[in-house]
Amino acid sequence: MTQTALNTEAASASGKQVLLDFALQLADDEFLVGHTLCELFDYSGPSLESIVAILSLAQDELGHAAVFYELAHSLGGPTEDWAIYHRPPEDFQSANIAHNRVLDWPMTVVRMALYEHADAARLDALNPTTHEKLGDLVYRVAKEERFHRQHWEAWFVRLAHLPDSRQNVVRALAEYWQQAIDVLDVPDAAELEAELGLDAGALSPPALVDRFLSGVRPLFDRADVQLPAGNPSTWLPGAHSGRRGAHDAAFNEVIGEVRAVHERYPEGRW
Amino acid sequence: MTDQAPQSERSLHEGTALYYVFVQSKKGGRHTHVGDVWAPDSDLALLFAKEHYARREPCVSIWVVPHDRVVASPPEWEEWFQMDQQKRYRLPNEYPADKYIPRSSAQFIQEAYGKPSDGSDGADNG
Repeated sequence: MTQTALNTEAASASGKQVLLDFALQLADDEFLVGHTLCELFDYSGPSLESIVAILSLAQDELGHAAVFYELAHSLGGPTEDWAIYHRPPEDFQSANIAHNRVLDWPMTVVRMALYEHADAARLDALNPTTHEKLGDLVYRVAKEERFHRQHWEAWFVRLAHLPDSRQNVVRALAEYWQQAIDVLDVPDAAELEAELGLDAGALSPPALVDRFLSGVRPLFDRADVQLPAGNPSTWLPGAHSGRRGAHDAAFNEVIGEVRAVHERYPEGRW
Repeated sequence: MTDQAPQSERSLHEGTALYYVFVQSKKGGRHTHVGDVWAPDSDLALLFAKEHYARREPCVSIWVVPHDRVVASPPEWEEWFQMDQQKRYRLPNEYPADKYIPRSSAQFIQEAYGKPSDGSDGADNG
């Protein structure tokens, strides 16, 4: 075997690992977003209609998690059930915003509008991939996410224009802004370039944040709210994004809820 | 718009209006009334309708119509609608449509509206 072939093989092996990490990031984010949205069932939103609609979005998110876990499994990762019920919590690669819910309507709307825009930024960047399986999933998932974005934006704009809730929207924006940007803490783009046939530049955190900002600006204009205070050049995924195991305290509580029934009835089938 | 809502529903749906939802399951087909949503405005009514009525079944288009914009027949017509007269003479069962409709038109109808009735499923055939 020539040296070149060896190098290619080595690059491909680490590229596969990076792609596996990316698939788990997408899967873990979508799973926890879906799960925490389902909790709203217990909570009264503006109306029964609005909650039923959101539970439908939650099911979409769980469906997206399923296909990304499947992709991860095909790349040598865990099965979906193992990933959710047995994986050490520190192996979850989700960003904190995915589980960091507050059972409050404006908080939920802002969290989800920001999450959807961050999610769209990474899916858009992945869209031109030459990786057939990932490309197919991204295309199909992004189509559903367009509806989700419209849904959360519709609420965002309405709440921002209501005198009673405008301050809550602004407060929630400050609360979730960095957490949304942390979603863009993606695996090493240089490794992904070869594996995915993508330009590494487009997957760099600054490029993804730019994409995210150009997505939220028109929304903020419609809602007549300002970007949070701060220097835009410092808006980058932080070390405490939650990815790579460093989750905040609320994470274990949510995972505990997810696993409660399974741990009590490990032989259960449903 | 909630003026006509029953008293029991009025507080539950305060600030919202009732919309009738129509779903078109394929292009060229008809929009069919599938249910209602209460929503604060027509944009949200559309978004709710998508999640309530188009999340599992095929759909290419949705209409939402404010319920108070629908012109409905008065209740007393219900009795008038009862068909006491035998209406068989109005039905086209004896008309061999295949013979008279040009093939291209028949195909068009089939593509737009699905398989044409072969007359075997009509209630008045027996």
